[in-house]
Amino acid sequence: MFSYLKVTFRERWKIFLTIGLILGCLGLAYIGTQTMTGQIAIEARGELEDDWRYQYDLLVLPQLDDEVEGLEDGWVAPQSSIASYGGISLEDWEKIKGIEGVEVAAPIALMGYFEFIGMNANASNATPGNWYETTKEVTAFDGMKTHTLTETSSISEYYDESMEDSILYQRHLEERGYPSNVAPGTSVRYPNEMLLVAIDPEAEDQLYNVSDSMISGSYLDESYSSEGATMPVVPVVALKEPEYVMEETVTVHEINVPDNLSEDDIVGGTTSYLRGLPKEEIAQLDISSLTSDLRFKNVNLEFDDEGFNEVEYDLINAPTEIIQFSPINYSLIENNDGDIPLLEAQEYPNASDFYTEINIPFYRYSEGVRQTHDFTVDIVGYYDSSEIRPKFAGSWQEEDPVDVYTPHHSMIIKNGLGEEIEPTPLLPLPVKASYYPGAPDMLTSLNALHHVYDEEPPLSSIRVVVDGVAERSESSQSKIEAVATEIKEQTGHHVDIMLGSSASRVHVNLAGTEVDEVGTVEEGWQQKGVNWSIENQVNQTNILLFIYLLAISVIFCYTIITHSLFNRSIDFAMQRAIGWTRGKIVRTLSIEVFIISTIPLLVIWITNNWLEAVSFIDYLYIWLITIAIISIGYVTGSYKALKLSPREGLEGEGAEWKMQRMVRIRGIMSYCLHQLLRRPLRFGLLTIVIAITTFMLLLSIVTQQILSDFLYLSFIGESINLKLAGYQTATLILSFILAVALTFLLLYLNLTERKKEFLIFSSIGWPMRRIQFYISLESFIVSVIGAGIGTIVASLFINIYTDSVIPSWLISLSILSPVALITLFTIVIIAGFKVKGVTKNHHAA
Amino acid sequence: MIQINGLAKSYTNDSEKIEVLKDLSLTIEDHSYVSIVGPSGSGKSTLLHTIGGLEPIDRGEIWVNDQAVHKLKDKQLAKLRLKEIGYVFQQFQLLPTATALENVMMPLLNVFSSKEIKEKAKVALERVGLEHRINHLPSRLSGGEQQRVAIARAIVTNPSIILADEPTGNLDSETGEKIIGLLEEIHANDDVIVVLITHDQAIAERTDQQISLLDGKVKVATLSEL
Repeated sequence: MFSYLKVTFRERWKIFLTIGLILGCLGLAYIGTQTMTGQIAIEARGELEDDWRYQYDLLVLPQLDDEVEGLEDGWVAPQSSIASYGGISLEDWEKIKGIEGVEVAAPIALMGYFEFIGMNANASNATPGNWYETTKEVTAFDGMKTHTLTETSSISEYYDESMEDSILYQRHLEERGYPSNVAPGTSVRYPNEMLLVAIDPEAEDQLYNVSDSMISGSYLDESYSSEGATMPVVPVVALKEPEYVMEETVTVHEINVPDNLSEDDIVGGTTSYLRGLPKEEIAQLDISSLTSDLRFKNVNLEFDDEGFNEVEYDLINAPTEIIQFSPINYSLIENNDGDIPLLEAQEYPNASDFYTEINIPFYRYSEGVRQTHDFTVDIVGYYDSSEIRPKFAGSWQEEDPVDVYTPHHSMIIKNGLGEEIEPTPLLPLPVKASYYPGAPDMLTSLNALHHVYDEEPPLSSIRVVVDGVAERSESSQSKIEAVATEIKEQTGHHVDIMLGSSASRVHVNLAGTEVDEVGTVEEGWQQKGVNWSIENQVNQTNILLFIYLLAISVIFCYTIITHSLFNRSIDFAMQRAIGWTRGKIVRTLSIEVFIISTIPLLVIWITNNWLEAVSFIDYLYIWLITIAIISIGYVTGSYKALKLSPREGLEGEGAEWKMQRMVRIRGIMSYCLHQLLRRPLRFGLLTIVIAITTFMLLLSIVTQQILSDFLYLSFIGESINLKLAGYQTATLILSFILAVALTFLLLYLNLTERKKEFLIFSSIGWPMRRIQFYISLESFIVSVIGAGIGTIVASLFINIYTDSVIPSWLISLSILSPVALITLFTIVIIAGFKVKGVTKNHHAA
Repeated sequence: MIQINGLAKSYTNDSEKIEVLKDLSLTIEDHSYVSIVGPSGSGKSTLLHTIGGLEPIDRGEIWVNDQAVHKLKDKQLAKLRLKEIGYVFQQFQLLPTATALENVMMPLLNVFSSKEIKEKAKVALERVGLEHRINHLPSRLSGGEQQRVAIARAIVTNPSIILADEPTGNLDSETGEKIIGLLEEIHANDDVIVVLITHDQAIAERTDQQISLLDGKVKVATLSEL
């Protein structure tokens, strides 16, 4: 037996070595793919792990909160936690704190926008006894356009006793009703509305390090005293950031009033008369009054034509008006799968009720008129929102959004005409009704709530952290779901599970109509569960790609092995004729399988000197897989040959296949179909290869697109997509190259194995071109069937598992490409035959 | 008529050049019945294949019915084989998955309508006495029957020449006799040239002309040539 094996290996060493090397390469590809998959999976999974937990696990919102509308369930708008004016009672908060598994329950309450006092700015070089015109212009930039917030002009005298006898002064006093005995000027730092939000300092500090973000003063401690104040004082921590860029320009002109003034001159009114007189600029103030230095200062300004001075004054009671705007209201325009949702910000219908001079769109609804409350505020410290860090958000990274404190920056992506532009940050305007508020301007404690809310439940939301869910796991999910259910049952409020949420993109249409106005902004919303969805999509795609690679590889080896064994069928018949049993032949073949299966191990062992990545278990796996692949080829290849009687084998007869007589030869087409059915293995495998390659390519193109679109919807997904794209493309290309090579091999074997048949045709008078035409027709039919099956299955698969539709151009391409490829291969192979000369070999045939 | 002048043909085997036919010349007249005899390797089969253009030649001339075979292109050679020559091989060379009828139909595919082809094929099979076996696969036919199918395939195009390469080589003597009888009948009825290779001297002696090859050359030609 071993001497036979020796002869066999001496005769067929090239084939065995080729099989071994191919399997070795496949083994290496397997290891490479495994290693790469592992690395990519770790990286991708690492990102998912890092971002799996939002800054809190549950967001409890009032049950009837319909103020933030737009997307259906599954999305949480930025600043949803301060989306409503009340709705949750303090008793509910106490209940939630008492629920088992609740680690932190941090309430937050939106109180309203508090109008902070302005600064008086007067010209220091004005002279009493003269008349002045004071103009003021306030502008702010939103990233696209400079908006004029205020533009005013006023006429005033700088009172002096010498003016008492003047007809002009007397008439002016009659018209206005009171004298002006201060230097000409106006109030600056307007508008300066500040969002006042109440928190529980202790709970908030468990959720975020707000106390660590204090840059001066104290953090809402209990030691604050308002002793001596004339009205209730609410201690607040103010936002210390140059939040808004608002430019204010105040100009003072001295009016040259003629001495020979008559009654007739001022019959139309003193103001219009004075406006018409020549004047001279004496002082100008250019100031950004909402900088961190000036925003909260209790000072007046004196300015001339060279600059300004700050003049301090004692704190007086600030105005106590609160404006309550409800949050931005959206309506949903489009939310197609694979597309970024498009919302439209709803404009306030009667903006003039609140602002008469500001010329920017309003996106907030008022909940009512301005409310006067009997309290004022005292800034006890300043906090820097950029220093705030979440304590429960996994590996939170710098510049990631932090809920209400540093929301994701909105980017302008379209101008008012709807034209796409280079993404530009949308800068918050100092008008709260405009669009985006940024971090709360003032934080206070829950003690202040009673100044605004009487009997109504005052809390806007409660952010809950669940105990013992540090890992991304099913059990964590179960715990969080259990707590959410308990909260719902005990309080009846709406509970959003934030588990697995990641920032996803939403487009919001604003009301710009000009080229320099904001049309659409892109901003990050929380999409619940997107983290899990990313993992599922990534896993499914990778599994499919790997199965495809494996299938192509197995068919490749199978084809070579079976081809080799078919050629040996006469050998087997001869062995049996001289007395070998089938069992003895099978034993020799088994030894062959064993020996060939060691070749890949040698290849990998040699390569591993550089790779150093293959473990003993890997070797074992590869060996077993190799044996399995070779055995499939050997079993099926030898079964047919051993099934024949020795005589049939020696005479080169083959077992009949019933299907081969399905089509009777009547003409060209029936002849081609007959040939296809006659060789089910070769043509069948070819059809399968074409079908799964077409399927895979279609699926890959469509699902990659879906995956990309899906991942593009989330900021975390985009970075994962970038990591995965290379690996998936490499796997697909590797598989595709193998598939193309395999297709060529199958076609080549199919034609070479039928060479004798072609020579018979030649001898009975068929011209070479007709033989070529028939061969090409066979290939064409196979490619159309394969590509058709692949396309149909891919379409069904995609329709079942996704909402996408394969575009018609892609379907056409998926059918035409294999047809073109196979036709090309057939022509190349036939040309090879022609070069060799079919007739030349006729004698041998 | 088949006219061969100075025919030479060689093969290269492991870089060794083997001259199979060496400056061979002969003439086969119309309607003649010719046998080619000679030991193995003397070039009999090669001679038969070169006549029909199945193998290219190194030099010399081959004329078949006034057509210069040595100058014809592939398409013209195919046409020559289709119209003028019918081949019969020792191994029958039938398509194993095609029935007897389909095998006989093969030469005419794409030449006539399928109905005409079928009719012609049936007539050819009737002539060889296989009208009752037309739907049988070659594997279900005896060796003699397979050779009859091969002969039917050769005559279905009404050729003027039949080239038979050891048609009885794979058959027992009784069956071989029947096949030779069939070829002789076709020769007589259709008035065609029949050239057959044989190792059987008895068969050779029944032909009008014997061509004996030795080392690629004609050893003995017709009596007149002698």
